[in-house]
Amino acid sequence: MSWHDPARALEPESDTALRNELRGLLGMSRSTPETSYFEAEPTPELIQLADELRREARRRNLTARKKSSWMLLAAALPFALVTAGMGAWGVSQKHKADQLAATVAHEQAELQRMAAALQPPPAAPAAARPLPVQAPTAKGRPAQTLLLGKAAPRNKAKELVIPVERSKEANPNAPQSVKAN
Amino acid sequence: MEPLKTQTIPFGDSHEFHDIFASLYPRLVSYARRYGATYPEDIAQEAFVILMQRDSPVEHPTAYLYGTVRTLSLTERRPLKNQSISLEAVVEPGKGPDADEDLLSQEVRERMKALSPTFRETLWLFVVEDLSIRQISEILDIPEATVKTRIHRAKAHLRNQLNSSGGLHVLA
Repeated sequence: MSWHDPARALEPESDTALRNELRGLLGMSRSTPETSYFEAEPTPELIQLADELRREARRRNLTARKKSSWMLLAAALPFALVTAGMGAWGVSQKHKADQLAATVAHEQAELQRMAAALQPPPAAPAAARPLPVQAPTAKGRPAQTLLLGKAAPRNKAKELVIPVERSKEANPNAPQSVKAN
Repeated sequence: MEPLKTQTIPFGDSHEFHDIFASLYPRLVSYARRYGATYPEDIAQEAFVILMQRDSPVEHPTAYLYGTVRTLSLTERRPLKNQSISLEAVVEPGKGPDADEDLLSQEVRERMKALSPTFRETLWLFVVEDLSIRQISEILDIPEATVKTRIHRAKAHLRNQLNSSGGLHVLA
């Protein structure tokens, strides 16, 4: 890893000018104790500290990383087993369902075949059947409608029908006359 | 037990690392102190270890270190887990304001204090820590445009501040 930062090296001049301007506004151009504070020489204590930190990083690399990866694997193992088990169970269930569907379809086909074999052949063609007599109607309605209209009252129960004369003006409170048959 | 070899860490040669460490370590300690960290040295050292511990290289190591120090300092100061803490409350209390005393003059400190914490933080990184806008955006985890906006607003605040006190004429 390199310490050289391209973002800092390739900083545009406008940013540098802005920084200088801000330093001027803050009054840092005249008194700059921070410059001397940050220009630290690598003292023996700092060098020793840097090496210790490097060793610590190395130690952590050797221990913590492996331990964490093993722990991650161990934690993920039950989930993987459950997922695999559920997947296998699902596949077996689907196989069973497919077999059942095939059996049912086969049985239905067999039943249809047997029903077709037992059914007698049609005696005469449909064209030979006698057609119903179409009576002429006064209002010119189709005969089929008349037939249906006549056939319908047969099934109806007998009921009393009271014809009512409707007045031209719709008045629910007005008395109504009832004709007796 | 065999001593661990420091050369196995892919982090440049020793001389380069020692130089960079010597220049960055005091800055990071100071930065952690600004956030009111109780143990700023520990936080700065931990940031270095975390950086060197990484398997994959970091594009901007300096920004990564600053960002790690910021996160660790905020975490250390957090009173309870899962409780957010405002920047206003973080930068000011504790040793935060005193951290500037060794670095900046009284005049600069007063002008910095007049800014809001958000602008002050960005301005500090840009002017005092001498970091680029790209690095600041990585540290604060905000877009570069936001960093620029904050810097320009801080500049406007400083100008107004100087105009009202007549300081701009003195500077001119």
